[in-house]
Amino acid sequence: VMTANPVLRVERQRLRALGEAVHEARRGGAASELAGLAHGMKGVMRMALEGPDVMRAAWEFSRERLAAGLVDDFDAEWQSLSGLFDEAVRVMRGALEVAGMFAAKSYRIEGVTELEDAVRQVRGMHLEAFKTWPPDPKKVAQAEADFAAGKGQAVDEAFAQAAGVSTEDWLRRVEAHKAAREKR
Amino acid sequence: MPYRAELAPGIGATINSWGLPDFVFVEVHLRLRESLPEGAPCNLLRVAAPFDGLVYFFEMVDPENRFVTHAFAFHVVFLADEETIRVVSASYLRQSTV
Repeated sequence: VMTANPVLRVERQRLRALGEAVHEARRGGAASELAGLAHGMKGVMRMALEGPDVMRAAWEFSRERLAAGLVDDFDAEWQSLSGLFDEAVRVMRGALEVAGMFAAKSYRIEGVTELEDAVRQVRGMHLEAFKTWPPDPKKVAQAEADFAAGKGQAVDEAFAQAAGVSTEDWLRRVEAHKAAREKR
Repeated sequence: MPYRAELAPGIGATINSWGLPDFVFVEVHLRLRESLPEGAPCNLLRVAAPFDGLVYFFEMVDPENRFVTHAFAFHVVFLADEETIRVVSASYLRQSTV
């Protein structure tokens, strides 16, 4: 039975709550309220700094679901995860922007440098998760045409070629690897 | 009759482009040459999208860095000869838990 990813749903709600907090802080208020709002920004920054952990957990859970055979639509799962990465970056940047607004009014908000780094981390994770996903349909079509033209490769031959050695040398390396693995 | 895996030209180069540690690179070879054909079709996942077909998915913890997991998804097609499995595309995910 295929199920929706519950972790993505929970993390999305968490990011949404953070987005609402950022939105509230952005609205500002009367001068008399600014000190209180600046104080509230501490909590917003603390939540925003959890962005990398939130996204790491969501990504890991998606990967585990694929491995467990719980996903029949790889694309939907991955696109859902991608959307969450975008959302995380958006709200984290929003928190940075609001921190800047308070700084302009002489309220120092702590954690700005750390949050800038956290945004970079989340963007890096997003790029890493989608480096080879989804499969390029043109490459898949080309592969099918190559197979039809009799250009398929044996696994040994393909890996030897990729490693830049002869098939014999490659197989020796594989045997040495297996022997070393058995000793572990 | 056991199955035999065959790769599309360029899959080897694609795998090489991922910059895997040596140990993992050889393990991927063993999975495709031995585990995939020996375990098929029970070790395959049926997927509906982005293509309607079968996926050989596996993951392994990097033995040199236990915080890193390498995950692989190979889109495979069975031939009517019931002997050959063709690997049509390859995807890779590297995830660090720190």
